[in-house]
Amino acid sequence: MILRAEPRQVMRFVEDNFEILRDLYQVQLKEHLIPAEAFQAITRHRGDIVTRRLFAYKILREMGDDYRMTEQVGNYLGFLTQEFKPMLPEQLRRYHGSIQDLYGLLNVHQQMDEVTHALRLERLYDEIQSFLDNVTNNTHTLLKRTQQLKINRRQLSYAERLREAKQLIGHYIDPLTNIIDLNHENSIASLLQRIGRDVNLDRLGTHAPAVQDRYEQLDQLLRLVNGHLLRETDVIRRELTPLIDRIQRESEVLGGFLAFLERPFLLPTPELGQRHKLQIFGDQTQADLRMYVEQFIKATRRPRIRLGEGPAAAVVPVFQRAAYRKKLDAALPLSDFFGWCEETMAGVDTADRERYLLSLISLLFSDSERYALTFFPDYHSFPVEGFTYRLPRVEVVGRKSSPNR
Amino acid sequence: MQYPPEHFAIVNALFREGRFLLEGEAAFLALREQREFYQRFFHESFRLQLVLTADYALLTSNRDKDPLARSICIFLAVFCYELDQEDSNLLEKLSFGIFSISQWEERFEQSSFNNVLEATDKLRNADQRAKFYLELARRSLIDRLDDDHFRFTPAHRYFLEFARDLNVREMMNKA
Repeated sequence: MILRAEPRQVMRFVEDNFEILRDLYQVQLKEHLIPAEAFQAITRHRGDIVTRRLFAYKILREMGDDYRMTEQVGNYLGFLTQEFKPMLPEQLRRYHGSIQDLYGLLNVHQQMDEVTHALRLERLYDEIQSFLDNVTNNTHTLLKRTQQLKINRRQLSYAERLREAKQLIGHYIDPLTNIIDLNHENSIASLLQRIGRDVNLDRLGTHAPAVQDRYEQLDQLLRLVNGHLLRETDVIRRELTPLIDRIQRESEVLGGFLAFLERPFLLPTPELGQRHKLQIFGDQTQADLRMYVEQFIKATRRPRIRLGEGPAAAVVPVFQRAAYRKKLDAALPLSDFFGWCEETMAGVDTADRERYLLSLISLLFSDSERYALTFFPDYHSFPVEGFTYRLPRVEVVGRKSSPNR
Repeated sequence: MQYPPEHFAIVNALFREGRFLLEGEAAFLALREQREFYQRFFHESFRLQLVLTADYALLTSNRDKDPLARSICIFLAVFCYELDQEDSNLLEKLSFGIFSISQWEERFEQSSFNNVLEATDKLRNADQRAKFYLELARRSLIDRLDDDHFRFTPAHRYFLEFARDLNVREMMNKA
């Protein structure tokens, strides 16, 4: 009982000294109690009267040498500043027991007087509401903490961040997900769902008006529970878990790289692809190539032409084809072609005799249509340089049809 | 015998150019469809391992010393360390950010890890780093948007994975 003030007066005091209270609340959030030194530091510039009233209005309580803020005041300040200490999942889980107990009480005695009945329904309502509030507070506190961890205002090292992220996941986020998981048999969410179904049926029975009212209220609340919890799961799934995953992954990457930079030239590195240029040339290629090219060098080497005075090259008289053709045509018909050759070649050098003979013969065969040849089996010798041809007698007659050239 | 489609492009990229094949390239799709064939093909032909993830592929050659791989690790490590000084999401920044080479030159010069860069052949000064960027682009690790700007391709995750593994090993050593 606050003896010395009206509630409104207390509220005014809270308003006037809000900064002090907030600071005290934050100290308590962190340290659980308010140590005497912290208390001194915060209230140093305030008059005695303020400190005295903190106790007179039962806002603070002495705990040995330290202080502690009254639970309800703390809750109220937390609500105002939206800063809470996240509840441990174990604390949240106790709602499973209390809600189940309260609900059980409704069914134990069929014959309850209506006041008790209404009261119990009311308490059940309070308990469920309190559970929902706590879940909301928890998710938001966790989200805030995670975001702070992400921004890293506290300049934690990567390893510390990683540890904290892991702690948040292990101690708060995972269990919280279990508690509000609708698909989980033992989760509070599914308990609430079952109660919701039963209450929906029970309220249809005949009840006293007060009880009926409570049933309606409870029914309405339970209808909202699902949506509410789904929203929280959504926050966890969409924001909290990915954020914390990212912090974890990021810290892992950075931690790894930092560890690498401590010994950058000693630690093994990941295997990387290598460029493989196509090896057209091998060790043997050069020798092979030289051999290959040399054959062409030899083949294309031409006899050298010497410019300048040297022994005069032998003049090879050209076989005058047209002139000899005329001679041949004039001598037609010939009874002995080679005999004629002998006569014609009388003035020719011995060295050129063979060439001349072959050229004369070619006169006959290059234009065989103009001449008719008859071969006779009597042979005579035809000496050229170095050896002698044995040639048959050939009779050559000019063909009438051939044009005379 | 029939070779899979894009065979030339696959072998050319992975083997001859030694670069990453990236999700989105036609050859990457063909490679993913013929995953087993190529795993065997590269192993039987060259004794090389094919690494194929959802968004990049790579042939690894187990050389004892690979100056390029080491340079890339050092580069990325310093890069990530500097990038983390900004209040931004590191991994997203790496995946989607566009970086200016000239701005990063300044940051490298001022970095507390500049001595490590100086001790690394391929990273020791701006000229060497300019060549290094060319090499990175050739290996498909970065995308050069113009002379000054680049962006990391998904292949950079190969090195992030390396960092994470290293982190795990370090933690186990300490524990």
